[in-house]
Amino acid sequence: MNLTFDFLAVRRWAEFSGDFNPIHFDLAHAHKVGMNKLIVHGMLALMPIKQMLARDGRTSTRAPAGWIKFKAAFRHPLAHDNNHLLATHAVGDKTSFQLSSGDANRIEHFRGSFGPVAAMPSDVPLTPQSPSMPDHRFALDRAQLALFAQTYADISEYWVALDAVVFAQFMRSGLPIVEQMVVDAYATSQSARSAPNDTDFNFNFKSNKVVVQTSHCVTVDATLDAMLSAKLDSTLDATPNSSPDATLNSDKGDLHWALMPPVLLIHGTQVSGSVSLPVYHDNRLVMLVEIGLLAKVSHAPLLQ
Amino acid sequence: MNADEFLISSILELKDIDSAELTPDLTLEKLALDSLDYVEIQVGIKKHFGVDVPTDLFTSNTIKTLGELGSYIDSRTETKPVPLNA
Repeated sequence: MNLTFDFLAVRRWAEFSGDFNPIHFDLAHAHKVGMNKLIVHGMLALMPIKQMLARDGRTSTRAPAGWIKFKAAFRHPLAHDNNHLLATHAVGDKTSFQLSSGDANRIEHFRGSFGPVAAMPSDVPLTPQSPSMPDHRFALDRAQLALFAQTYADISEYWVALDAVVFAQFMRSGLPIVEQMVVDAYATSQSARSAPNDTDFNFNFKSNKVVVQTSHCVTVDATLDAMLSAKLDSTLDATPNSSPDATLNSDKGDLHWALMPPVLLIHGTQVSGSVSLPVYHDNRLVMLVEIGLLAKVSHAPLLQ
Repeated sequence: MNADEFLISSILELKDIDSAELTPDLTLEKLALDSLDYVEIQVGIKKHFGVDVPTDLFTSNTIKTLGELGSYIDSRTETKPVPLNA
């Protein structure tokens, strides 16, 4: 499978997700963070991979049940207009994948896996009524879902659409909260070390957004996905314009997600961490999105 | 999931390697982990066990093998590791 993303595709994703980081549009800024070319959003590049793996997983004899986990490690940014090659192979009951550059250098951009898992981590509340439920909760934005269906009509997998909408909402509503938590955690660590107050970090982090996504993981209830996907397939035959949006809007259930307190690690001038976003349908945990993030307190290139 | 099981599971997600090769005496150098792999593993350890593994333990070769990393986690885990939702 060959994948290429041009400026128009990148702009469409930015408009959908709200991620207008200048490394995607401003070549001078891309140079400043160590890149030769404009960069494609990792989430945009993952979308066709998720779609393909999910379709193949459901139609193969290894069709999973219970929880399915998609995990991608971001290893090198993708540049606009470059050709990329997706390679997959079976490893036990999972499918392993790698996206690499289509030239002789074979630079590895993503690697990851897709397949069944036994369980969801227990620190994630199974219902929104759980005492451990975080304060930051968001209703799923149905208008955003409609926008996704309009923009990405070729994506028919329910969980891929849901993942994209939750991510877009996180970029707009959740990331500013996480950024403040990073700044606070860094200040606390400096204080604990009796180090001078590093105002540069606050300035640099807030003004330049020197933060990158390092991984993306989705664990989804296969039963729910299969049920909704089957519903989608049946309506696809009858109404060719049917979409995840149509499926979700015909389903009157409540959909919302939460922002769990992030896990943050501060080592020197580097802050790394993971943000968990559980998604609930009719008060039941149906999906968990985990986003790996990395930030550095420096004007040196973040991306190598 | 104990520390050893967690490390094996994490590395299988990151590297295309046969699980039979992931023995306690396998060196991290032989795994050819890159800096982002280390970050991913460190964040995962913090998340599941609440243990912070400083990067200099890897760069100084204080922790050289999978077994040593597992022992480090075990020695600093105050409470039981987080179980999984069935």
